[in-house]
Amino acid sequence: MTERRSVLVVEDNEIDLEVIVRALRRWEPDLRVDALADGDEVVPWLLRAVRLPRLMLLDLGLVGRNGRAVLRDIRREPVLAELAVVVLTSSTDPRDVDECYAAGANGYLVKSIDIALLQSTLIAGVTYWMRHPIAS
Amino acid sequence: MVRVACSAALSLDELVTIAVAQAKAATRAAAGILFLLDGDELVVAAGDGYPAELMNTWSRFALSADTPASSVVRNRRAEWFSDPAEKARRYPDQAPKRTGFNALAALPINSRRSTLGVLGISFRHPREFAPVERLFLLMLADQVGIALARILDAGHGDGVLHRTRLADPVRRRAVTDAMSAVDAARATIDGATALARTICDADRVHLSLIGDEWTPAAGSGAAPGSGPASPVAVPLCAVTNSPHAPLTIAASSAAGRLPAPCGGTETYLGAPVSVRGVVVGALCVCGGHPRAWSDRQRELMDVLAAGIGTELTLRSRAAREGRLLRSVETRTRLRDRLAAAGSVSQVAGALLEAVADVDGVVGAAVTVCDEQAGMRHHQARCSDSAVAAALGVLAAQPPGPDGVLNRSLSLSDLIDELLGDASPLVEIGARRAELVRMPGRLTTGWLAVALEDRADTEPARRDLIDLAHLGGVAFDQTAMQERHQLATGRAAFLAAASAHLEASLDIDETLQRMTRIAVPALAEGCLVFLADPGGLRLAAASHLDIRVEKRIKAELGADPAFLRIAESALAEPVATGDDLPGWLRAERVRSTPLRGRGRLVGLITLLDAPSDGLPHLADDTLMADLAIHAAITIDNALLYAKRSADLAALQYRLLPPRLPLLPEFDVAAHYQAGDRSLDVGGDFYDVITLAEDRRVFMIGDVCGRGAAAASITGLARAVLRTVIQEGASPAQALQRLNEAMRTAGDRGELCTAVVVRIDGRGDECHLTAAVGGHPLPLLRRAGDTTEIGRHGPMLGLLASPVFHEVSLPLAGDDVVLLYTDGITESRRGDEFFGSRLVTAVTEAGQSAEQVITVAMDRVELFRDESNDDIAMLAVRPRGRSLAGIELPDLTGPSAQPAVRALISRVLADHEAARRNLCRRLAVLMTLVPPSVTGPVHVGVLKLPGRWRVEITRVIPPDGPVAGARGPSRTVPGALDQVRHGMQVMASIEVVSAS
Repeated sequence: MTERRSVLVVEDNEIDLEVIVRALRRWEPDLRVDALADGDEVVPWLLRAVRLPRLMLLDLGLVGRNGRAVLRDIRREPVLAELAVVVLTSSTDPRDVDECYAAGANGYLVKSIDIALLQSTLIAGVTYWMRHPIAS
Repeated sequence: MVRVACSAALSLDELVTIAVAQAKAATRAAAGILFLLDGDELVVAAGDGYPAELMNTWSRFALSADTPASSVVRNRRAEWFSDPAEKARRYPDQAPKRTGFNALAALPINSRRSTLGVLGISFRHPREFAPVERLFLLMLADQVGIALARILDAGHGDGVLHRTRLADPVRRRAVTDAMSAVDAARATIDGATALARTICDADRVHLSLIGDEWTPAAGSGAAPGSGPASPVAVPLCAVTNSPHAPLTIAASSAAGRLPAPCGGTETYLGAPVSVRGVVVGALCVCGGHPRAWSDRQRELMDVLAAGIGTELTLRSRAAREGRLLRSVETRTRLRDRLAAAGSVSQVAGALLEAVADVDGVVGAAVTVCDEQAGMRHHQARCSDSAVAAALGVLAAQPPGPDGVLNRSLSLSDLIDELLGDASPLVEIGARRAELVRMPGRLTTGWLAVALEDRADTEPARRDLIDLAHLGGVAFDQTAMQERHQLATGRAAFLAAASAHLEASLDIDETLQRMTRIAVPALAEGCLVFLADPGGLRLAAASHLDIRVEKRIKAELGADPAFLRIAESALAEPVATGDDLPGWLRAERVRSTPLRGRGRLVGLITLLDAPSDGLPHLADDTLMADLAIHAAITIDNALLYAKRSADLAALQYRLLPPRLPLLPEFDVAAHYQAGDRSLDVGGDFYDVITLAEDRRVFMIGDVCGRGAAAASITGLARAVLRTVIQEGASPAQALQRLNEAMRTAGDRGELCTAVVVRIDGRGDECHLTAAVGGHPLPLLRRAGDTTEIGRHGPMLGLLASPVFHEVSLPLAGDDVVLLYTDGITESRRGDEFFGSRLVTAVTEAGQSAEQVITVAMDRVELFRDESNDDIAMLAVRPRGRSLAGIELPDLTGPSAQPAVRALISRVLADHEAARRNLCRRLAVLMTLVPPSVTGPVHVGVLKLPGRWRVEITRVIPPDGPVAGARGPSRTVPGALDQVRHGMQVMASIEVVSAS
């Protein structure tokens, strides 16, 4: 069972993280937003969580353990099966998209450099996963 | 009818009879009962339809009891029980009691701010209460409450209380002010009450404030101290507010005008207390024995009451100023919150919070819309969703036809507007509503507020109008931000989409990238269909959810029903309803046509989620802009694809479709187009057989690209072929081509060419070569590779050029390579492939095909880009052909006998050589893997001093990549990797001396 109004953001770029969190809070002030910057911390953090967040926004370009590796780690844990993982990346290359889906991503959001467009994208993406949890 | 019936009721019994009769008639109730509140207990006032034992059980019980009736009074909320199980769940102690009734409605009987009792309506059978039934019963209880209050009042000094004066809103506001000042004036009040008791020598003295209720504010002796409010009809102090005040009673028995609850009071003296000239209550002394009040005592009581009034006036003024200050501070904080709000939702939340703090508000909702941005937002603050829905209906009401923007709705107005939907509002205690317009320049908004029943609603109304003004300004500011945000987002989206659309001519990939950025910025799903000759085909699709995206690609691309919906959505958005599968999770389908040069080239189809009222990027203008851009891109790509395919076909025809099969020569050729985006190239080659022992090989390169170069290429190849067939030597052929180039046009077209004639049968040959501006051919002989021929001028450049012929003998297995400069000028950075070609040719295997393959492999490894055409033509004399056979399959059962027979026949006089060859061929053929299939040629050849058996097969030409069928992932039109010639599969030799 996931916590409906809760999102985990995995992003190691401070500016991007600030933009993402601001966009989410602007949309829903009561939304719980947790953030991690280190790919190695993600799975232990999730396994420790009392209730899983409904959605995880995962930056593909993490330094160190990158997003694809984190994604594979998550999908190896059966207890995290209900966590929706949506990849955030600037690439629109269909090969990148296919790779992420093959690794177990549930969705793919293109990270625009324009803040207004990024906000629209994030809000629409998060709204969808709040309405349609993986378990539905 | 209920109102009329209740108004006419004269007694409690009649009232409950009427109530139960009305309930029965409307809802088929079986029984009804009326409980009245008596202190801390509920007592049965009247009942109908219940068994006597039940009536006895309920005759009197504590207000704190765990029963539906007690709960209703405590919470002032109705309770509804559809079946016994529901009642048992909420009141476990009641479960064992079998009453014979299976459904119950327990309704509070309220009068203004107090609850007088409970009306219970029971039903024999389980039943659900429809909203309209609930509303009816709530209204029935309301009317019973009004009638009951009137009946109770009738028993308490009717004719003494001055009801008009009591109900005066100005006076009530003065009372409210006075009550707020009591604590601050406590010392004065206590001193005055003590003095009054002393002066009047009374048993007790108290100060009463009479607003909606009687509120003792101070007391001395046995009088009540300051405490909770009671019904206004209870005390004599209320009578003091009548025109008969000050009221002086020497002996109640004599006066005969005391209200019933004033038992124990025999003498009474009340002096009115005024605040700002308005009577707000009374200072009273009373006693248990008859006595007369002296004029002096009455006079002093008036003085003390005036003193209290003055103190309350001053203190209330200070309190009012304090309240005003706090109100200003509250408003300032609210303004700050509204100014800091980043979204419509946050503005609405802050506004509703402030509205909820207004006295008497039981629920509120705002509806605000910005038509230009496509935003419509509704938000409510209330106890449950049914109330929110009812307020939403109110807030969505347009202004009345009379132009009145703000409306005050009475209970009957609410019922008229909402019908059954009004019941949730009535149930939470709302008895009226205010509908206030929030004025804005950019937005239109309404504030719908449900209010309790208050005698004076004007202060609340003023507060709400004030808040609505603040809300209107704040919503305007937010709308401005939203519009700016939208405009920026749309511009950014179009810029990103344009960049993707212009980045490539690979249409399917480009469209896939475009749909990827469109999701979810424009919609939850985005599909692009392209118009193919066979109809629409799904070219790209993206969805927020990979589960849905996979199914779209697998199931919707070829689903005629969905295609029909997508096409019909061109006219206007289509609500999906039951027409689309639920897994698509779309509420609406929108399609935008893609038109290129006036014809439909495709559709962009958006799958929309249920509307959330928020503004979205994908408005009609953005979709039109996107469609124009995408359509131009698609149309250009289609044109490019067709043109490239046409050019590829043209170029293919400028090369020989296949090389001639020469039994005595091993010939291979290779052609590769340069940059894929360039037009048709100018390289060509050809092989012409003039006689069994005379063949001509040529290669050329026309300067330039495009249709003009292609036409010169065609001309050059045709001229050379014609003049060579007429018998021209290589030099003469180049001369004739030079003349043709110079007379063909005045555009200064140039080309280069090499013509090589080989005379002989494949064992001992003679080569004659002439070169016009072209790289010299290479000759590989005995492990050494050299250039042959002499450089001559470019064709078309000079009027009378001289082309030198070079002749030399050509032995078996010598390899001559003709090539264009695309090979030697292949680049890696600033470095050219150049002489590496000589090395490659030297190191390659024996056959012509191996020479070409090795040369190309080395070029591919070397170069970092391929922007020039490459053509190569290699020829190797294989020996004089003695005989040959065609075999359908080398591994077939008849292959070995056929080959053995061939060798035996040709080498009948050379026993040793025959045996040697047959034995080695037998071994070789057993080693042929089964995967080698297809026809082969087996030839017996004679070279000086040796015999040779070669097994060869034809390499089919690759042909041009098909591009005319429309856009595809591969750029159409490139004439790529045309290889043809003969592959030597095996070659076995024996020396003729053996």
